[in-house]
Amino acid sequence: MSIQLTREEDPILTVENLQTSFFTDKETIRAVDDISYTIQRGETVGIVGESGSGKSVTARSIMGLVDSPGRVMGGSIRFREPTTVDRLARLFPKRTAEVDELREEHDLVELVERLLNGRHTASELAGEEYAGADAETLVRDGAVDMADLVEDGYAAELGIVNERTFVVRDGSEGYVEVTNAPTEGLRKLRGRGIAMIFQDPLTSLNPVYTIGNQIKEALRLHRGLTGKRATEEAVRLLEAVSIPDARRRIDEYPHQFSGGMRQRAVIAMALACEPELLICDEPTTALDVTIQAQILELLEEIQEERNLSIMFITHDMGVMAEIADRINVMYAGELVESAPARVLFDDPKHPYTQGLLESIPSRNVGGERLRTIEGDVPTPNEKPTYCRFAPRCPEAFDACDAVHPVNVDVSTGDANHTAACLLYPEDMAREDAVAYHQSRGGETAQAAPDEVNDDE
Amino acid sequence: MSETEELRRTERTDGRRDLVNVNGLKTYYEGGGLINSQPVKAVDGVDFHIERGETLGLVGESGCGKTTLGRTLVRLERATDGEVLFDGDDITTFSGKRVKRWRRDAQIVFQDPESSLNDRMTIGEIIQEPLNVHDWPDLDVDVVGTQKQVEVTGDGSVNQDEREADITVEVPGGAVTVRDGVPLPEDRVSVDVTESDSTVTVRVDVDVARKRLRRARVRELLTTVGLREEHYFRYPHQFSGGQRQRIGIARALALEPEFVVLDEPVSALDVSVQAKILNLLEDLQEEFGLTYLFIAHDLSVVRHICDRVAVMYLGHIMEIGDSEELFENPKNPYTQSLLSAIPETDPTDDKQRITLRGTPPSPRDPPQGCPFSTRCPVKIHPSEYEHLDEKTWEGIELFREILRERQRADRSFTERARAILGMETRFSGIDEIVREVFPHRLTQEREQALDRAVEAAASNREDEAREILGTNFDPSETDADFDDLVDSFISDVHAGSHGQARSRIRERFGEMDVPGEVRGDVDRAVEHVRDGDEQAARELLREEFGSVCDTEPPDHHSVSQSGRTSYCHRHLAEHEEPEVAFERQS
Ligand code: SF4
Ligand code: SF4
Repeated sequence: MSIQLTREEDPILTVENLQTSFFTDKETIRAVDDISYTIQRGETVGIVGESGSGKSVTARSIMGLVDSPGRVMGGSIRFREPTTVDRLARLFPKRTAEVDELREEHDLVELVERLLNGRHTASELAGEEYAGADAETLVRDGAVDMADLVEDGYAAELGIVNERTFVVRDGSEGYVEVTNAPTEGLRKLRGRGIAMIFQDPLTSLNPVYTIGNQIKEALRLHRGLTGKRATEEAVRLLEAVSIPDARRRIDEYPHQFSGGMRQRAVIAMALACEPELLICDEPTTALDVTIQAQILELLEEIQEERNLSIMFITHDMGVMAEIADRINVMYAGELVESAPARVLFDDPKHPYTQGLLESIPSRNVGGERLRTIEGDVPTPNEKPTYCRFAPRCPEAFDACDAVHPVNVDVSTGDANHTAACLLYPEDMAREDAVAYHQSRGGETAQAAPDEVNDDE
Repeated sequence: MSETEELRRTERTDGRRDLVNVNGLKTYYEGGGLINSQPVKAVDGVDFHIERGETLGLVGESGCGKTTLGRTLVRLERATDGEVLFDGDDITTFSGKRVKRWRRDAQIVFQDPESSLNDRMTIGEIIQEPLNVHDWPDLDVDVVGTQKQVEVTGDGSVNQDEREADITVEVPGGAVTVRDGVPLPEDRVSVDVTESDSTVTVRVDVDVARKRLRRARVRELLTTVGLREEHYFRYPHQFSGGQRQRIGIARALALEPEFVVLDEPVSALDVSVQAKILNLLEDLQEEFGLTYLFIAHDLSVVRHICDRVAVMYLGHIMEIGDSEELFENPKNPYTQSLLSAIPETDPTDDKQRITLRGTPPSPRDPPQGCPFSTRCPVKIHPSEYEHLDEKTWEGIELFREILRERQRADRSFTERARAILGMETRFSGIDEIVREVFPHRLTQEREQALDRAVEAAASNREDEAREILGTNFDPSETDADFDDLVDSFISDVHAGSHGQARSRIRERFGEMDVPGEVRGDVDRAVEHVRDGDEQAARELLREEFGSVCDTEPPDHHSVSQSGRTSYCHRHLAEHEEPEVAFERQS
């Protein structure tokens, strides 16, 4: 069960149980409420949802850009990219855990013993099949490795690493824990490592500097290029995003660029930092379709050339279908369905996704009236002990008000498709399915079990 | 021609079936700015009609003039030229009282429910406002059952327009009917009829205050648009986007218009909310027999809701006709490009995508010929150059576009200062552009050396790559700094852009890979630019490579049985139809 820090197929980004809340006088809004997903190298992962679904807050959490009164309350965001890890490890040695060094300095068996003598059990550390095993066995079988202790937080508990550790390095590999990173660390991570493109290119461009100067500034900051070399590189980047007559246009100001050209310039600026992950928050929403098509094509090209990972946020299902490999659907702060793009459009499982797709006019050509979803998106302001979609769900049944659905496997074939709905797994009897969700950690309302049994 | 069609035609000529008839309409804005005093030609000569009870969609990209056109139809913008017939009368000539009366018939719903509602007014006040402005209800009276001269006294007045009167009184007897749209119980109207030989005098007393009638009307409207009566005293910020759009719709409907311009009414809404508003608009149309002009950039919404569609580009209608037909089988090259750019959610869809180059030209300085000629992928080529390959044409068109772009680019202050001081910068870099735009070719030997250099750089043997390039390419052949060039080459390869790395070298050391006759013209154009005469360069290129698309505006050709028209030269017999040209390209 040992998890190595980085394997070939390790995702470049792992988001686990992320929780971001906003605090107002009246209430706490759980804008992102316990979501988990991954992004592979070279993959485009789309996040769709309507306003209030939490999709943009998810992106901002990853960039460490959540502003007060918002705060990341829990969960982890791990960015696994060797050069970034090395760079940050060099800059923040005190907050870096070197797993190799820990292996040399400490006796693993002894550490595991201390954990077992404390309040931890073997099955907690290594899974059910090791229930009751002693430290010696766990270590001998490779069921627990130093890397696991660091990754799962035991190392901090044992006091062998700094609690504020946010870089973990194991040989040439490792990860950066974004949620633990200090402001300065986030600044170093942004741009180079993870870059973000917003809906309005003007938020990323300064009106008083030429496009060229802004790209050169990014080159200086992130890659130490200056002078003539920076100019050459800036021209090269503008050419790479298909801006004609780049050498001349580099001296122009943002207002002299059209909307589509500005977004290209912003992409060039992002590329100047040579990011590994590009987060795009509705980057084409403000653009016309023909220009949108140009930008989508450009992003696809760049991705292919650089094996870039892209997280793409949009409310436009058409755009999503065009660009995403995998789609995550968010509703009221939660991730309610995840599937490869084709599968999601072909065979949506969650009633919300189904309703959403049915309300798109283009999928209802000739249809008389559009299907609608009754009611409005709720504000997620309490811990869910029920399905947040229940008040609007045409399929809702009693248990939906009493049990919180968790994401369960709904794949047919090897699609890797999950949905958070009590109707699934489909092959189980209704009450078994509900029980299954409960056992998988679905929160349950007080006094709910009885109601659940009365269901039918 | 079928009988029904025949019928429709005749009806149209006497203008009865059409509610709106637009002829040769132009709306220009006088341009500010010192250098550019050309007006913005937002709407540049459009003709169309809207039938009573139908929904005409108006689509196009931002800046195409669709919003200006919609606003001109309801006189929020003044027409520069042409006429807008509403029920046969040209509203562009209306003034004073006539405008005010007519405004009740033509309303507009705006895109942004956020900013179109005054946040300091309650919902009730917002919807009631137009009723107050027009002193609603008229309480006008139709007296039926008599040939004599009619006089109305008391709270009522004689109905003077073609609309149905609020109150109808039958004589003799004085039986009262109140029109559906007015929430006035008939028993609250008392009538007193006196007849003389030649006149009937009807005294009408209404025992409900106008104010109360208005409030009742507002409450009625709230339920009509799917809100609740108790929303009357709330404020806009207490509502969601969808609800605010319902408020905007209620306000537009308050005076019972016949015609409503819907300017991007659902663009700011989430899909699930958008679906509800679209359904509401359809219901209202059916219930009140409304005629819509539906402006949108989202083509799938338009396809869903519209009977007919007009596609606009740079102030012109490129194609107009039956919606299903147009979406299924677009005829105009612009419509075809536009439709192909819409991302589809249908996973089985594998349509051929047409990606347009560049952006639309400025409406201050539109092309002389066809408005789409600077970007059209199937632009007609002059016959003597028909044989040139696509790559070369792409180069030529891009080259022309760059020169045009340079002409119109709003020059920065320093640049203008430099130009005045004679330190011209605009014309520098022309060689660079030619290299960028046209394909270049190396000798076979050098091409192989390039392969080796790419491979070396890709496997991190930079020194070897440098050496290969250094021995095979002579720095003195190019005016560029050779070391910089090699540096860029290596960073391209490292970034994975092998193609760009190669063309970087090809551009500098290769021959322009275009037929000799084209090369000669390009060289001459470059000479002009070097001499500081970009104008001459542009003209030369236009003369040599331009076609009817550059010089003549097309006609609106009929392209289907149902009367759909398309604005394109390719529908003339001597040219290939657009779809054939697209087909040939792909
Ligand atoms: S859990 Fe119940 S309410 Fe929620 S989506 Fe599934 S069926 Fe609907
Ligand atoms: S006339 Fe037709 S072919 Fe020529 S540029 Fe215009 S749309 Fe294209």
